[in-house]
Amino acid sequence: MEEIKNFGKEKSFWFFQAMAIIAAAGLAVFNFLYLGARAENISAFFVSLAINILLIFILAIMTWRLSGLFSDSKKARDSFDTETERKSSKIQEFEKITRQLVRRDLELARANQRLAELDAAKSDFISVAAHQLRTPLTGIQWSYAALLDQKTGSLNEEQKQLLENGFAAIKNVIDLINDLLNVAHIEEGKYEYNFKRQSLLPIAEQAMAGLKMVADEKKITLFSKMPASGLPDINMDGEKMGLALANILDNAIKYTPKGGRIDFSIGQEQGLIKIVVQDSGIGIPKSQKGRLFTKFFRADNAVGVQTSGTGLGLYMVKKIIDRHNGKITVDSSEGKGATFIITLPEQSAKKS
Amino acid sequence: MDQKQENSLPEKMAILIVEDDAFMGSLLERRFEQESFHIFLATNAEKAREIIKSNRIAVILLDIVLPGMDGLSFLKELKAAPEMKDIPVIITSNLGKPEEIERGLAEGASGYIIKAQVSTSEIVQKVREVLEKK
Repeated sequence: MEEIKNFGKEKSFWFFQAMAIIAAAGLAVFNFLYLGARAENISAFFVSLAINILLIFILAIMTWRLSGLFSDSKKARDSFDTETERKSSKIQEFEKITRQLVRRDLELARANQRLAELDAAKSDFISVAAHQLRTPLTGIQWSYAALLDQKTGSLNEEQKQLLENGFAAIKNVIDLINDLLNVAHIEEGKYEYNFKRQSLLPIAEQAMAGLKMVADEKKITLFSKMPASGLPDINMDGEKMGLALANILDNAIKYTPKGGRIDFSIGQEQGLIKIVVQDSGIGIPKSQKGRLFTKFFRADNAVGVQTSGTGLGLYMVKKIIDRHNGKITVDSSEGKGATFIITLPEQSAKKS
Repeated sequence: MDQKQENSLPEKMAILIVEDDAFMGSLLERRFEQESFHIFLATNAEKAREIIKSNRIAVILLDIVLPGMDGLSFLKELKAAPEMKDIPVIITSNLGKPEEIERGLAEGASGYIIKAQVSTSEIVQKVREVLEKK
């Protein structure tokens, strides 16, 4: 069908046709002149003429078929050529993209290196700045302490109060710098963990003992409930866990008004060790709960109560708990106290 | 002159404080003098080296950030010298980077104190502990 439809449309067909006609005509003329002239009778001449016409006809048919084949192969070749061309342009395109990717990759690697350098410079800066700040502040703190121990002469109540306030203020600044350094270390990944199988109880008791004085000062009662049968040892960094618990307790004390109470309990629940710290403080506004564990965050109502917080304590706590594969959540609404719940898996704590 | 001092105060133990910050140095000096120690102050490693060579030092309090040779390099030098390696060294720094603490202890320091985290009394306490162990 195709062939019939395309009959005569190919240039090559007409070329072959023309060649065939010329060849046939040549043969006919040769026949006519050579055979015809020698023909002994008119009938033989006509027979040769008929043979000639038949020959031309056969030749025409053959050239038509041939040209068809030729044009098919040409078509195939043409389509092959366009396909190859298309492919090679695609390949070129790919090569171009690959080159671009390689260049981007290099640029990215360079940018990454630059970032790492900047990060190292930042860490160095924090470390140097902290050192530069801590040194004179420590000197001031020691001077206050030297005056307060009254070996240089006795102080009256007012002088003592002034010096004590000064001492406390400097201590706050030093604490802030220490927190900043800790956070810088956490973020650099330099906060090294020493995991060891141990019980949480002595760590919790030590954290509590460390904060007893602060709680007593505010006449806050710290109720604790520890499991009488002890706890299974878990893989943890005792020092960091102690820091986390101390921070949670310190936080509870900070935001609980004078004479309030804090409940601290540790227990086991479904293969988890559960630590609960419930305070009777100012609570956390619902809208801000989500940001509680982010760096430098302080709730609006917290700033009014305690101006000296850094917003780093709970961030650090979360980092430490995360590292122990634990979870920390908070349940609170404004004015109704807050309950922090930490759960630690009894098994599968990360090994350092 | 140092020799004379040592002779006149034979009963006092001598502490060398290597500290480039004059304010900190003077506070430490004052505090240790209250405890009846004899104090030598050096603001860099070179001066400290001279003092150690001509005096009998019981303990060295060594800061890390110093002009010229830093404290950790000086510690390494001390621990490599036969005549000085037995003097206990307590690093008193404000850097407190975990890797520096580790390096200090690995180089043979008898203790590592981050000044901002302690009172002068705690430093005195630490010095006494180290002297008892000696």
